[in-house]
Order: sequence, then C-alpha cells, then structure tokens
Amino acid sequence: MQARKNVGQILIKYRTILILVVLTAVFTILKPIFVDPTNLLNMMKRMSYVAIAAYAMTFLLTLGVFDLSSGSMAAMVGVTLAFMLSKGIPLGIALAGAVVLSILLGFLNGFISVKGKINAFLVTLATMNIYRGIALTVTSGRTVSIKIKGFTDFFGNGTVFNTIPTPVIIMAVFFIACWFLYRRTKFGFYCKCIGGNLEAAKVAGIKSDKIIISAFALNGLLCCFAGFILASLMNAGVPDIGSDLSMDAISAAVLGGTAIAGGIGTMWGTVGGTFIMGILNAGLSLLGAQSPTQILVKGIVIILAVLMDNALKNRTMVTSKSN
Amino acid sequence: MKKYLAMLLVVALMLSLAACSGNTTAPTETASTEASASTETAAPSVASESAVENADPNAADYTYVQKAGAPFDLIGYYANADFSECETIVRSTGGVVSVPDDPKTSIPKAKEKYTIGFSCYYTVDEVGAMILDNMKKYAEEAGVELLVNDANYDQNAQNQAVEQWVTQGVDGVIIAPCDFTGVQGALDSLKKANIPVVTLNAPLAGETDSVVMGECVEQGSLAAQILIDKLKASGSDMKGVITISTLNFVHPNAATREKGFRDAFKDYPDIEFVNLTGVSPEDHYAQFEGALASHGDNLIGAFGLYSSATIGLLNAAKANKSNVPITSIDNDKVILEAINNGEILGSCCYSSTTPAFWCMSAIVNKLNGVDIPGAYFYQNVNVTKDNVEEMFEHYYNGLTLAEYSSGQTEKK
Repeated sequence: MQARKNVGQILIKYRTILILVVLTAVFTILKPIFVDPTNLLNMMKRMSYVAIAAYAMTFLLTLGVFDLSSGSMAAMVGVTLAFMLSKGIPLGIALAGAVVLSILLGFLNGFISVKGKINAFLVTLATMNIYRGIALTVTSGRTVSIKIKGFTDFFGNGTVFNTIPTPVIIMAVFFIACWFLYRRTKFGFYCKCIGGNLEAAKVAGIKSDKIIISAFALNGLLCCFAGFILASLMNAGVPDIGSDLSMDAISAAVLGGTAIAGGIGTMWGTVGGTFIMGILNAGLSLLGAQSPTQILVKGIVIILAVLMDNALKNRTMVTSKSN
Repeated sequence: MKKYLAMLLVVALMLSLAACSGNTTAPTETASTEASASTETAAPSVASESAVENADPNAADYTYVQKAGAPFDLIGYYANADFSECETIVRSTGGVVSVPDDPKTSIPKAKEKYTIGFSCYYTVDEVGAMILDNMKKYAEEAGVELLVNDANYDQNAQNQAVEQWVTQGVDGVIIAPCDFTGVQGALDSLKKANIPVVTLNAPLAGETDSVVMGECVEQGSLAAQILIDKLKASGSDMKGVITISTLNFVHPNAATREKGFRDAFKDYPDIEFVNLTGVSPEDHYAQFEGALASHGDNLIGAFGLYSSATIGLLNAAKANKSNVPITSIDNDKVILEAINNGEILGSCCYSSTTPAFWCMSAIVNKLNGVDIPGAYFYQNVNVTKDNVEEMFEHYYNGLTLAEYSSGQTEKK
C-alpha cells in the first residue's frame, strides 16, 4: 500500500518528464528519424520563441493573471523593427527602439489593469486587438522584409559550432535568467506570495501593484525577443504572425505545472511544457497528421496534464489535512 | 488514481496517433515495373538519345508564353503588375507555359522510387482537400512516395516540416506556402540541401525551381470584362462607383488581380473604385452593406476578389434586396450556384485540381532530368449563366449543379 502510494507520488511529481518520455518513445517507435539530432535541434529552434514567451507567462500565471496580447506584441515588435531597418535606421538603434517599445506595451497592460482595477483578461483582450491593429495599419498589411543577414542569422537562422541553432542558445540564456529571477530573487518570491494570497501579501508589506506591473513589463520585454526570433525565422516583419503565441505560452506553463489560479509555478516545468508542445508539433508533423488531428491530440494532452495537476493539488491538500 | 490517469494519457495518445492517417502513398508494383522498364530502355551514351530521354513528356500540352532558354523573371512579372515586393529567383529555364485543365499527356513516370514531400497551407477546406486528394492520386500514377504536411496556416510549422524532410533525405518537395515571404526559410533549407522544389503559387522570397500559379492579372481582367459587358448591354453611361472587396492585408494574388481589374476599366475614367477590406465572409458582408447604404444608386457594380469576399457581399446584396451586378473570381460551389440563380453575373474560375497535376508533373520531370518550365499558368475561364452547368461538372468531378442544389455535396 505504501509502495503504491510512493509510486503514485513519483508519477504525479514527475508527470512532465513522464509525458515527455512517453511522447518521445511513441514518436520514435512510429518514426525513428524523430530522434535524429538534426531533427531535435530544428524542433528546439522552432519552439524557442514559445519558450521565451512561456517564461514570462509563468511569472504572470504565478501572480494569478495572464496576458492575451503576447502574440500581438511580438508581431508589433517584428514589424516595427523591420520598418525601421527598411528606412535605413542603424540596427543598434532599431533594436533598442524595439526593446523600449515592447517594455512600454507590457507596462501599459499592467498599468491599465492594476490602476484601472480591470481584470487583466479584459485589458489584454483589448490590447491584443489594439496592438495587432496598429501593426496592420502601420504596414498596410504588408510583410516587411528584413535584409540584414547579421540580425536574421543571430536571432533565427544562424548556428553555433555549425550545429546548434542560435535561437536554442537564446532560449537557454533566457531560461537561466528567468529561473534565477523566479527562484533566487525577491521578485520571484513576491510573485508567489501575491499569487498565493493577495491580501496576505499586502498585509505583509509587499507592493503588489508594482510587482504586477513589473511582471507585465517583463512579459513585454520577453515577447520582444520572441518577436525578434519570429521575424528572423520569417526573414520579415509579419503583421499577422504569432496569433497563437499567448495560448501556446499559457499551455506550456500550465503543462509544466504552473497553476492558473496563481501561487505555484516552476521554470523547469515551463521548459518541460514547452518541450511537450514542441514534441507534439514535430511528431505529428512527421506523421503527416492533418490539422484536425493535430488540434485534437494537443487538446487531449493539455486536458490530461491539467487533470494530473489537479490530482496532485488534491493529494497535497489531503496529505496536509491528515497531518 | 494518478497511475490510472497516467495510463489513460498513454492510451489516449496511442489512439489519437493511430487516427493520424500518415498520408503516405506507396508506389504500386505496376508503376515501379514501368518506371524501371523505361529506365532500362534508355541509352544515354548518344547525345540525341539523351535529348530524347530528357525530353519533356508533357510538352504537347504546353502553350509557350516564353520560349525555353532563360529562367522566368518572376520579379519582372510582379513589377509589371505594380507589385514590387517580390525577390524570388526561379531557376528552371524550360520556358513559361500555359497549361490546360484536361491535359492530353499523362503524369510522367518516375525513373526511380522518389520520395516527394508535399506541404499545403491547409488541407481541410474544400479546395485544400481536392488538391491533397489529387496530389496523392498523381503520386501513385507517377510511382513516387508522397509525404504530406498540413501546415494549418502556420508558416513556422511548414518550415519545420520541410526541415524534417531534408533530414529524412526526400528527393523533391512541393510547397503551397502559408506566407509568401516567410516560406523563404523552407526554400533556403531546400537550396542548401540541393533538393528541387516546385511551389504552388509564387513565393515572394527565396529560390524555387518552378512555380505553378494562376495568371492573376488576367483573372482580374476577365472578371472585369464580365461586368463591363453587362454595364454596356444595360446602357450604362459608365459613371459611378464600383466596389472591390479584397483582403485587409497585402497579398500578391490580391494585388495582381486588382491591377488586372482596374486596368480593364482604363477607358472609363468616370468610374470610381472603392476598396472594401476584410478577411472573412462576415467582414465583407458588413462592409458591402455599408457601401450599399452610403453610395445608393451611384453604386453600379461590385467585385469580389476572392471567394469569401464574394460570398459576403452576395449575402449582403440579397439581404438588402440589391440588384447591383456582381462579378467575382474563384469557383466555389456557392458562387457557381449563385451564377446559375442569376445572383452573380459571373466569375473568373480556375480548376482546384489541375495545379496538383502540374506540380507533380514538374517535380517528377525535374527529378527525371528534364529542364522543366519555370512557370506553369493554369487556365482561367469566365463562367457565366451560359456555361455554369458544364463548368460545375468540370470542376467538381462530375457532380452536377442540380445534384448540388438538391443537397448532394460530392459525386457518389
């Protein structure tokens, strides 16, 4: 009985890894080329911008909020950058401008939500359309080519040691930074406190408004780099790109164990969740699955992962009560 | 409980993956035998025999727009249509040709058992499904193995699929791009791997061996002619407003169709064009309703530049009991039925299945060593009430308009 409990605990605790292993095994059996190193590296390249957006979403979900405008911000950054470069603005200035813009967009989301006391869902639902509309208007709906090879190689199409795609390196660097921020700094600690119990956090003297607004600004910053990667992969600023980025980022974080209700999260889990989605996309693509099948399978995986997550929470509560 | 959940997850995954069709076709024994037999009979040592062997087996169906010897200048083609966004290089030097919907020649037989990857922007709507079904059919006829990717309008996913195929070592690729500029990533991967590629629709960046596309300027021009003929026949003084229902973002096909349409009216300077933009039928419904209200009797015509636009403005016209003459491009069943009912004047149509034939022909010929044309323009036909029944059967595999109107959606 005790042994069964322990196995159950292990299965739930390491559910993300378990799902990863099962998926990899299944796809490898069906298509052995799945585990070809080139295929795996390309898969990681293609999911890198989702991972970066998901790191930021982990902070927001831990706070008990989320941002639906991530994709619109990434698109706006891409087209702004492409537009500036096409007008002859030096790369450094264009990059800096894009970074400042994205932080401002994220800040606006947080500021309006907090100071206006409006649910973040509603604010970012509106800004999702506003930012996208601006991107489409500025470009008249055109895709704006990016011809600076240094930029597209650095953020998208280049490799390190002639093997590892540069987006994978960027993804890893941001993971280290976000993990440190989440686990080793007051900011990350405060996010968990606020998400766990907002009133208690306020009573404890945590400046919750500042933290929440900062998290949204951080999301803007990370969406900027997600936008750089997307624009590099497309060799262009595309105004209607990234429409699924917010949902993919939320899915990745939730699959990794971050609670939608707030208070709980893990960067390692988010990486795992991103890998789950990346493996699903790559594996289904190799199998030649049509889009209805892809959508169906992804939906099943997400709902089952969330069920397992709830089972863990219930078990944790039962264990606490019995103690 | 958690164990059972984990097991349920695995079972559900296995069932879901089993539902994946795989979408590969294996060459038949007969086709393989014929392919190897044709290889055995070739004797490449003599120049003339080599020329015969590498002769294009589909040449009898070509009407040359540009003779063989130079690559197709796609950049110049778009520049002539006032569209300056194209940077694509087309490599093949076999000329530029118009091709018929009903070719007399057959799909060429592959000299070896090639593996071809086919990635389409979407394969679940009517057009996409027809293209996919026909691509599989022609792959079997050619004796090649076909790998399929449905990109679901995600260029990133399409580029990933192509990279996977490069890793797998496919022999050739056919791409119908999701994003005409973003597809460059896929084309660059194929160029680096020296894998030939044929694109269905012309990309705006990257390199391709050949493009299979509609002559969109001609499509716009033909659609305009339907409206011009009607207006002149009704004694119009050719003054007033004509709306153009188009996309709210720049798309090369849309830009070139609009160019052809507007140019057709160059002799009528008193006509004012108003663009109504959107994406979905409901967008265009709302836009056209607004146009009806604001222009009133001054509105003398309407042009649906693509099927969703036409469907939207048609329904708005019907709801408002408007008699504004409507012309269109695309051959959706709904549009053809509306032509038959007199609700639309006519539509410039093209086959949804012919492109599959010519894409497969191009890639197999390329792999067989033939210098294929750089561009294949498929046939545009004006469909009006006079020929709508015949053309409906032609485009929809024998299904009649009467059968469709009675509720049947496919030929049984």
